[in-house]
Amino acid sequence: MTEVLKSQKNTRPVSPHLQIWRWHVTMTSSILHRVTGVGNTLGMILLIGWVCCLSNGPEAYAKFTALIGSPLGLLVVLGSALAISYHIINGIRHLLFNLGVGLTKEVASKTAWAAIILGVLGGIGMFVLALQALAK
Amino acid sequence: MNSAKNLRTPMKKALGKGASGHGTEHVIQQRALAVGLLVGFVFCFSSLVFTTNLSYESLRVWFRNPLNAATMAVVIAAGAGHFRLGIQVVIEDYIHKGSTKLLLMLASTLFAALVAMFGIFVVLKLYLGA
Repeated sequence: MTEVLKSQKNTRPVSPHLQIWRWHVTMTSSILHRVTGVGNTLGMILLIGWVCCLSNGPEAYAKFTALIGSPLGLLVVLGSALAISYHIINGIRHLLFNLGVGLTKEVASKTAWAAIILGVLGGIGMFVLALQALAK
Repeated sequence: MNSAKNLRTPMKKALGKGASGHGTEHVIQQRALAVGLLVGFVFCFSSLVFTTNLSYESLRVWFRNPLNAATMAVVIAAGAGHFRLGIQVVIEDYIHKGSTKLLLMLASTLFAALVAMFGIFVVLKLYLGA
């Protein structure tokens, strides 16, 4: 820590950086929220591509389904389902925080674990539901 | 409000502005868009996986329903608005160089506008069955 302070021109206190913090689950839930948010932004391209191909006729839609039905495509779809699921569940947690609910360290840690576990389960669930719909 | 603990002056409170004079509306917009996106996404996803088989024909029928088409348009538009504000926070956190920040903000705003406009046009096209 002293090296960090010495490297500064002023020896004023600096905010601790990532590598100085001890790991805690609320930090992970926050990082995951940002990562999945950026992921979902890229996922919008997938959604737009889907509606666009659908509007362009059966041939265009067949090309799109072939693309996302490939092993790499399915991996992207599964990843996207996980990102959406986690971001929604942790987003609800954030909305509750905004209402002043669950802001103590103990509750925030518990709900962080819950969001991670439910996010993964929800993502897998979404993927399975989509596969089941396709099998109808 | 505990006035003894609050260091803000009455004028500051009356104006309701923080250090930069704006930004509060972004926080509120981000949450309002989140709620719309949440409801719209859950509706669209459940409706699609439970009432269609995701085939070309069944999806074209799904989009002919005005409620389905409108909700999908809301998901796309609210999604674009929500990610536009979210990406802004990410850019402001990591990019400190003025010109790079400006370029990235412009790019993300144009991308959001394109996603929203293009998405709504395509959903409308699907609804009209063109």
